[in-house]
Amino acid sequence: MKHNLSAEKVSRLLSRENGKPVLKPNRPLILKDSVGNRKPRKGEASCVTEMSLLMACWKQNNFVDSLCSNEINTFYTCVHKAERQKLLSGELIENCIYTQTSFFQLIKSLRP
Amino acid sequence: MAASISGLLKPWTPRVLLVRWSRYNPYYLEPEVRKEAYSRPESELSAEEKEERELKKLRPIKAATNSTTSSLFNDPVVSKFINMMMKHGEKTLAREIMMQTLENIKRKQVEKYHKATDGQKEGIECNPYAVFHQALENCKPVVALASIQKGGKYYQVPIPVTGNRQRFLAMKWMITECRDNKHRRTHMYEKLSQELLAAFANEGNVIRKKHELHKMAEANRAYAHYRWW
Repeated sequence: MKHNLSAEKVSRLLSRENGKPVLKPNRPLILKDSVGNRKPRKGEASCVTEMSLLMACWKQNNFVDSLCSNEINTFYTCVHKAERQKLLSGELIENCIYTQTSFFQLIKSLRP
Repeated sequence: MAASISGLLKPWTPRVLLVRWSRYNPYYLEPEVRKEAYSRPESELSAEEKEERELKKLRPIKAATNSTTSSLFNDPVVSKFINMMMKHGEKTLAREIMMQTLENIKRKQVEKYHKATDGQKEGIECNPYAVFHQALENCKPVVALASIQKGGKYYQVPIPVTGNRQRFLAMKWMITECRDNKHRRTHMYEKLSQELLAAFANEGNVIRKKHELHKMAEANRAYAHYRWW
């Protein structure tokens, strides 16, 4: 709606000359070129098959970890891959604004 | 990677430097404490590492905490454990207890070593730091339960747990078990060394707690699809 009002009206709403200003914007009053998400799409659980294999192994071996080390390793690799995919999928990158430092930190965390 | 926040993070150094506070302006970078990182020659660095070095020349760096050192004996896991044991900010006492624990572990292992036959001697680990790390590794849970709401009810859903959370749980269980479930007249270092040696051999109450968590997760494996991440 703001782009319909002229610049003088906007500056009048923001000015402090007539008592308190009507508007107190915490972001610049500029229209974006896209609409925001009202409901982020829910994904599905990752690594369920690996988890079920791991639990079957545990059930067989009475929860001794040393005998299930292969399943545990595959589970961990799956979890790390899923985490990295979540970061790279761009979901976060679209929604968050990254600074230079956090960009380097993201790169470091993604390094294998 | 300029963005709207970087407009606020101008190269601003306050007149009074915030050294003791934990809340730094995100513009500040982490300090590099390890000696090896500085002794590498220019040729060995890749392009991004060179870029990082250039960046570090221009940005302000946070002050390193009191407990970090660049010595050979600096162990981040041991430091974290000491911090978790510490009460009312008494770091010297917590550190003393940890050192006594490690000494106690060493004594017990060396005693076992000397009493063992030649065939068994190689299997006995005498390095207390190795024993500590292996014991913590054995205590780390692989899956944990999370309370997730679905259709008005809360379900205990098994979720994968990695990295810092695992380490935190292992240390927390170790410390609470030693504080609560042991005889009150034994010293903390004695209780800790007993529990750590038991965990090293995959026995004891902390390992039992981990197994119980795994069993509960296994019992609730049907709800694993309630996760959305």
